Amino acid sequence: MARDLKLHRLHAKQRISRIRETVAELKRGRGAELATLITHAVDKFDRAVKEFDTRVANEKRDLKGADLQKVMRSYSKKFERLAPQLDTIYYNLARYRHCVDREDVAIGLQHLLDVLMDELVGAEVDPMIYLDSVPMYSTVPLVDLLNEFDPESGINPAEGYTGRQPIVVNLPALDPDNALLAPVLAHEVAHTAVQRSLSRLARERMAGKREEMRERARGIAGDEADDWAAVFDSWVDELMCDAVALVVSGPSFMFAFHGYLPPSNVPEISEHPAVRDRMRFHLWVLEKLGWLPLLNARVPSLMRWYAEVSRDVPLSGHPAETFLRGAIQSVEGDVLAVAQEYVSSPFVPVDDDETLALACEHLHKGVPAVQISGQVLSTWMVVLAGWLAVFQGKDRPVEAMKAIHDRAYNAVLLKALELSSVVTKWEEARQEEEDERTNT
Amino acid sequence: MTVRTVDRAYEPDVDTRFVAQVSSLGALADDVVIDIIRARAGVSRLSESKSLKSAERLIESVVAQRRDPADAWTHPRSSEAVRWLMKLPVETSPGPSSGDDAGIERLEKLSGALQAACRDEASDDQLKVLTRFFDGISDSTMHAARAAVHNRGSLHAWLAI
Repeated sequence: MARDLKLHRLHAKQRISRIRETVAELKRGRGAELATLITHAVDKFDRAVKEFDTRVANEKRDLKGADLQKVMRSYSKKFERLAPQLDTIYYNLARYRHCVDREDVAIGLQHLLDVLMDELVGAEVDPMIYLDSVPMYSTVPLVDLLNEFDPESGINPAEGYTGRQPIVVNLPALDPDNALLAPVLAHEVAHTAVQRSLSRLARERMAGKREEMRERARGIAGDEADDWAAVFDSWVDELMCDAVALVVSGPSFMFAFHGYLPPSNVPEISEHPAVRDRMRFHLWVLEKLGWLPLLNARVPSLMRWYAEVSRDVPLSGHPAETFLRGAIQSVEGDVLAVAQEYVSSPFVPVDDDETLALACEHLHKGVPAVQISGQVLSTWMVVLAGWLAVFQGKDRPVEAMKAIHDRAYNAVLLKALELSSVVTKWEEARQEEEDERTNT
Repeated sequence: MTVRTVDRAYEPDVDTRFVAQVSSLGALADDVVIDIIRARAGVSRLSESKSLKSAERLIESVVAQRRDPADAWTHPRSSEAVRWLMKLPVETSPGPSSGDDAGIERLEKLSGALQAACRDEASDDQLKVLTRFFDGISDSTMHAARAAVHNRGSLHAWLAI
């Protein structure tokens, strides 16, 4: 057994060395905080090996014969147990190491991600883009992922980590540079906020309603009511992310959503609410946020289509479906309230219609204009102008799908996003200089 | 039709979270076994064992949940460790009781043995039961963590103890 212990100890040490060597070879630049986090994590494992060594030495002093043999078997397992844990670190490093300082994704999109992370997660974030073979959008907060160990009994690799937090943003590998779908990223980044705090806040806010739901669900489903609760929680999280995305990016999220996820004709109960129910929620939220006058004026046919589609939901008639659709509707106000309280800089309905009209006009002609009448267009104003330009003169749902796949048009929008971010920073720096001059 | 959910959050194909949580449970089990061996050899006291106290709290919460399952509508989701232990096979030896009652009975015995051990009052039989139980947890969690990495997914292996 003693020999096994040495083998497993060496196995762990070698895994740690390989991880450290790879970290040393990582590039610097965007996403380089991956190196800081992984180093922090493997330091913990190194300390664990040292601690086990000390304990083994003490056991050899204190115990003899069969007792020592038995206790060494447990220590051997403790060393062996490090391997799968280190393998997950190895896996995350191997998977995401190419995301550091990547140059194959438009800088405009990277700027947009910075804006989103800053707004929804906090400034201490280092976003990394991973090109995923599954054509979907999602995020992985790596610190949260490595922070799952029980500190009382195991090694918690991320515990005590104070550096900027690497958050992986998964983009469809064959179509990463899609500016029109950028609002979908707002939904995905919101998942991190939901996981960290909004889910709990929503649960607290709707505690009374949940008790009523439990009683009703038990009356209908008996023991299966707990499964319904899991689906309900998942639906609340998804609607919360939708609400945050709508508050942050305005109607662009609704346009991106139907272009990315066309309304299904099949009834389903999954971890997401039905697409058509979500579209109804989007319309309702935009009405509450005061966007409908602008939308009804600019895209009237599209708005009629949204209303129609969200009323025409294919249903299975299953009791769970009926119950859950009713339950989720009863908490929509709570979901929106939590989202609104969370977002500190919402994208409010545009007053100056002339600026928006001019921005649309320029983008329609392929000009990435970002400063109109002295006003710099914000990130989400650029995206909204981009979407409204798509529907200019042809406000039909199919135009969204066509525009999403128009690479040239998306390139113009990405350039506009890049310029908007550059000019905004430039203006901020100029203002700071001016303030400094005034003060002196 | 049964309503089922899959993991809500995005997971890559190796479930880091699952490996982390079952390894944590396994590490606790290893420490409990070590502390029992040391106590039986007379070199330390179980009343001073931190891991035994953690294990006692854990098993107590599993017993409470088996007796009165926390309903998902009003309680937050329990930890991976608790959910693992909730899946303990209930029939381990032939006897008059069966089903949930047998499982709870067995967990209550464990909980009683842990409480006695924490007061340095456990009998030899109780210490043997605890050693066998936590050795089993140690082996099963190791197997599950390894399988989750090698099979590229979280394998919720059955606890064979």
